Amino acid sequence: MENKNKNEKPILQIKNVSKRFTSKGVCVRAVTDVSFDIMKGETIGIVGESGCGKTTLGRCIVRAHQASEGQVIYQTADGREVDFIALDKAEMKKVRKEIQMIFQDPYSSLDPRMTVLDIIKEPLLANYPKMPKSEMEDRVMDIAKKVGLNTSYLKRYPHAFSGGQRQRIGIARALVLEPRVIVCDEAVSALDVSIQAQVINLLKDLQEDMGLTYIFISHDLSVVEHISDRVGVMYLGKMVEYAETEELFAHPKHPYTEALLSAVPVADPTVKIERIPLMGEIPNPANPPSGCYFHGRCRYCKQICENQAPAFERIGNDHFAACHLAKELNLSSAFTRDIEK
Amino acid sequence: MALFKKKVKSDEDYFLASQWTLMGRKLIKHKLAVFSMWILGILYFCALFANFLAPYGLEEYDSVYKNAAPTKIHFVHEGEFIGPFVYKVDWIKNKQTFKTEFTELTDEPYKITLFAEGCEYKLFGLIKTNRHLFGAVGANGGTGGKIMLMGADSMGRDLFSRLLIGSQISLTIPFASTAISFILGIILGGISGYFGGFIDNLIQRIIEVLSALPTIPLWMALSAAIPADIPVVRMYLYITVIISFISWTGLARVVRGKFISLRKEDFVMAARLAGVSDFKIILKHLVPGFMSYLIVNLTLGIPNMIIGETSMSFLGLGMRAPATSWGVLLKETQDITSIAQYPWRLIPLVAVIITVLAFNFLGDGLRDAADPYK
Repeated sequence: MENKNKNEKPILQIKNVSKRFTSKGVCVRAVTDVSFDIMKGETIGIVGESGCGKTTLGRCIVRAHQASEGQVIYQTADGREVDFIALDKAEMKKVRKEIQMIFQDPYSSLDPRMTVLDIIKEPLLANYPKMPKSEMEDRVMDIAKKVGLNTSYLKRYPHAFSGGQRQRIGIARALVLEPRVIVCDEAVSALDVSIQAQVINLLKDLQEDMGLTYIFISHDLSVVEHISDRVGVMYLGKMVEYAETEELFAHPKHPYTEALLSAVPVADPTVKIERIPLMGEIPNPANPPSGCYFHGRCRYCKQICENQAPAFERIGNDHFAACHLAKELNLSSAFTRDIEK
Repeated sequence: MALFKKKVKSDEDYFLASQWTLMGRKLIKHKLAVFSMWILGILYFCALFANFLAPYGLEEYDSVYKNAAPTKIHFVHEGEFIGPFVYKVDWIKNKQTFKTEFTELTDEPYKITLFAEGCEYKLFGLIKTNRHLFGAVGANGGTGGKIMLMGADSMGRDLFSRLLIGSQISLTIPFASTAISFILGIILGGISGYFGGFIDNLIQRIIEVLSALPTIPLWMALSAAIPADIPVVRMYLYITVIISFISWTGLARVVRGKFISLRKEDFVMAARLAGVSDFKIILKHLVPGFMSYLIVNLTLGIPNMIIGETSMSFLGLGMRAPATSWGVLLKETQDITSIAQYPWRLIPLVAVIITVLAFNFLGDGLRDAADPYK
C-alpha cells in the first residue's frame, strides 16, 4: 500500500480542521486542529469513544457542517485541487458528487415516504436533471445489483426492509453518483454482528470494484482493525494518534490508544487481558482540561502533561501521536496479549 | 432467510403500500370516524343540493305561518288512507295569553308530492328549474297548505329550507378559510422553521401578538372595517379572509416544529449531500413528512372555524340578513320568546353540534391513522 502511494498526492488532505459550536455564549470545541492525509483507494478508520468528535469530523469533511477553521484539500477526478471548506455553493455542487456519505441509522436515513427506487434515484435527479428516465433506472438497477438488493424489491417502501437491507439501500444511494470518497459514519454500528460482516465485506468488494476511498468512522475497534489501512484515534476533539493499522495495534504510542486496545474483547476464554481502566468521565468539551486533554485520566501523567499541550508529531515511519512521553513509554498492544497466551 | 422470504410474500401488499394507502386502511378500521365521514358526506351532499332538497326558497314567506310549529303530517283524511298530506292552518290570537294559536283547516288535504313545483332557483347556480324534491300540493294545484318540517320563523319562512340553504355558507366558509390559513401557516411556519435565526424570531413574535389579541374585539374591529352595504358574496369573501388571518397562527407553530424536527433527520442530510436543492428538499421530504399530521390538524381545526363563523354571525359581526348561515339563523332566535315559545327555532344549533362532533371524531380517527408505521 505504502509503496504504491509513495509518489502520489493524497486524495484528501485534512489540514488543521476545527469545528466549534456556539450556543448561548458557550463555545463547544467539537473538533480541534485535526490534520491527516488520505491516499486514493485507502480506508482510514477513525475511532474514539462517543462524543469525541468523530462524526463531526466526518461531517466537516463532506461539508455537512461548515468547519470553523482549516482546509480539506481534495484532488478532483480531473486533477484539480480544491478546498472543500472554502468552495462556494455552485462550485461545491460540481464536486459534491465525488464525495458521499453512508449514515449510521438505517432507519432515519431513508425517507419512509419514498420507494426504494426513488430514494436511490434522487441523487441522479439532482445532479443530472437531463438524464433520460430509462438510463436513470438502468443505473439504479445496476447499483442495486451491486449492493446485493433484489431489483424486484425496488418498488417497495423502506418499511418493508430489515436493518441490513436498509443499509444496503443507503450504500446504493451513496454509490449511485459514482463517488471517489465515501465517509462511512458508524455505517455498521446499528446492525447485528452477522449483518455487520456482510456489509463490511460488501464495502470491501465495492472498494475493489470502484476504487473507492473510505473514511470509516466507528467506535468498534475490531471492525476498524479488519477494514482499515490506517487508523486515527480521536479523544475529545483532537486526533491523538494516527498510524498504519498494524503498527497502531502492535505499537501504540499514546496511552489512550493503549487503554482502548485493552478494552477490545478477545474471543478466547483462556486469554487473560490486563484491562486498563480509564478513571472518570470524558471531560466536558466546552471546558477542556489544561495541557494534554487526556492528562486527568492518564496513568503515565507527568508534570509537563498538565501544563503543556503536546504537539501532534511524527514519531516513527508514518506514525503520528500527540503525547509528550510517546518516545519513552513502552505500551502494551493488542498483539503482546496474544504472545502472553 | 427462507422463513423471512415466505413472510415477505404474504406481506407483499403491505410492503408496496405507500403511506397514504396505509393511513386509509387504518382509518377504515376506526368505526366512529367512518360513521362521521358518512354523516359529513350526507351534510355536504345536502348542502350541494340544498335548493332542490328544500321545499321553499330562502325568502319565500307566508304571513299565516308566522312562528308556526313544525307541520303535522297526516295519512288519513275523512277516514280514508290517502298517503302523507298536510292541512292548511289558520291562527287566532288568544286574548288572555296573547299567544298565537294555530288550528288546522281539515277540509282540504295538501298531498306531499315528490318533484313538486315551487319557486324558481338555479341548481349549482347554473340550471334554472322550479322543481323541488317534495312539496305540499292541493287538489287543484293549490299551494295554500305548507309543509314546514322544522316550523317557521317570525316572518313565516320555512326553517328547514333556510337551514339547508344556510348550510351552503356554514359548511363551506370553514373550508375556504382553512385553505387560506393552511397556505399562510405552511409558508410562514416553513420559513420560520427552515431558516431559523432572526426571521424565525420575528415570525414567532408576530404569532404571539396575534394570538394574544382577544378574538371578539378583533373580529369586531375587522368587521367594522367591512362596509355594511356590500353584496353578500363579497361579504362572504371578507368574512373568510378575516377568520383565516387570525387562525393561521396555531398551524404555523405546528409547521415550524415539524420543520425543525424533520430538518435534522438523516434522510434530509443525505438529500443535501446528494446535491438536492433546498426548495426540492422542502417539497419532497419535509412537506410530505408532515402532511398527514397537517391534515389531522386541519380536520380538528374545521369545527373551530364553523363555530367561529357561527359565533361571528351570532354576534352580528359576520353574515347579515338577507344572507343566511347557521349563525344568522341562531341570531334570529336571540330572545327569550324563541326559547320559551318556539323551541324548534333552535334546531340550527343541533346541526352545528352534529357537524362539529362529526369533524372531531373524523379528526380523531385520522390522528390515530396518521402514523401508520407502528
